[in-house]
Amino acid sequence: MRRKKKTKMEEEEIKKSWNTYGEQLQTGKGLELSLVEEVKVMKAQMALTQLKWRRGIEAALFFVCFALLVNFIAVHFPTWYFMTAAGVLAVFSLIGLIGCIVEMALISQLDYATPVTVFQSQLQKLKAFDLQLLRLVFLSIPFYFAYIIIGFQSFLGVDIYANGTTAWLISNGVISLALIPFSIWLNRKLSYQAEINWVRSLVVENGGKQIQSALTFLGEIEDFAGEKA
Amino acid sequence: MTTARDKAAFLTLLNDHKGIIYKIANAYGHRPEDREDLVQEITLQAWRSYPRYDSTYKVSTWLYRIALNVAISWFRKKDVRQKRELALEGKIEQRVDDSSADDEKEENLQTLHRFIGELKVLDKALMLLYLEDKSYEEIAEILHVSKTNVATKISRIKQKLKQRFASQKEN
Repeated sequence: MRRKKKTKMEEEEIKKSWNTYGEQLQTGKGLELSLVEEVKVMKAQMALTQLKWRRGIEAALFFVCFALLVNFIAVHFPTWYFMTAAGVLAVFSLIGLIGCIVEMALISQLDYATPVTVFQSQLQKLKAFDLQLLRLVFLSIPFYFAYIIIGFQSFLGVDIYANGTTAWLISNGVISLALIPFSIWLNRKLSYQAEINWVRSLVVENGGKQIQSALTFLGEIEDFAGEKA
Repeated sequence: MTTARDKAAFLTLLNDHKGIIYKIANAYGHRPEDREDLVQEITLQAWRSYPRYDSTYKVSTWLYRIALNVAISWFRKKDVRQKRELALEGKIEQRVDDSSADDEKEENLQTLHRFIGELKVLDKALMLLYLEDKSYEEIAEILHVSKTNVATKISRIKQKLKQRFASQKEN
């Protein structure tokens, strides 16, 4: 009982010191709106602006890919395998493009007045968006033959589909089908908390330090908020 | 469209609660130039968020959220080496000028600052709110964690703090 009382007193003493410190700060230098005006100049350097720029560049790249693929379809109409190959990859580019635009809109809507763990979690997920792009790449693995067809035609002027033997075409078809379950499995495993070591390494290797740091902090936030408890 | 009246109202509100901004800036930014940056950034984000201010929440809740979100995001931008340097500098620089404060109080405050400086970013936020005597409900609102969780975490931090002060007295 006496010990509890002593602890309580110590606690009050600590809080008293803190309050005195707070009072000193409260009576200190006043805040002026000119601070805001000055900071506006530094706006370009702010993290969110940088993130928005990054998404903007990615969106532009996806748009260029999409436009080139649509052009490829138009040029090679009505050859069905060229149109199918370019069509599939155009769909992936379009998904990437829409994803980037949505992310840019989400960044613009971020409000610092949101509760701390929610805001920080949103921010880290936005930073780890490249992980979603990586998932998109992995989902396109079974369609690797589309890249081969378009690549050969665009860069070497060779119609690989027309020149390939039937056995070769069938074997590629079989490999593509076999890759579907692998691609789906990998897509499911690629998460913010990838448990398999090589999958996690894959995420980190492809996303760099920013993703690694964002993923670690997301884990910390979840631990803090007690979701893992 | 912001009017002069809006600006004046915002400034009054901000200056009435500037202690919050300075305390958080001092807790997360250890060098004077870092603190200044943080105060500016918090002011800017508060100004941007001001038109959306929801009066169902206390002004302090709103401002704590903004200040903590800005400070945590700022702190996380620093790399590990910078953070280590900041922590070391913080041990030397973390104080307010006050010649009237007695030695014991000053020492307590120094120990407290050092303790806060060593906490993880989210625990640091919790500790600051606890020291501010915020209710568990308000802390839960600011951080978006359950009240039970707040109570458990505060009890753990208090235990560590107690140990720190006990070892300080022994030395």
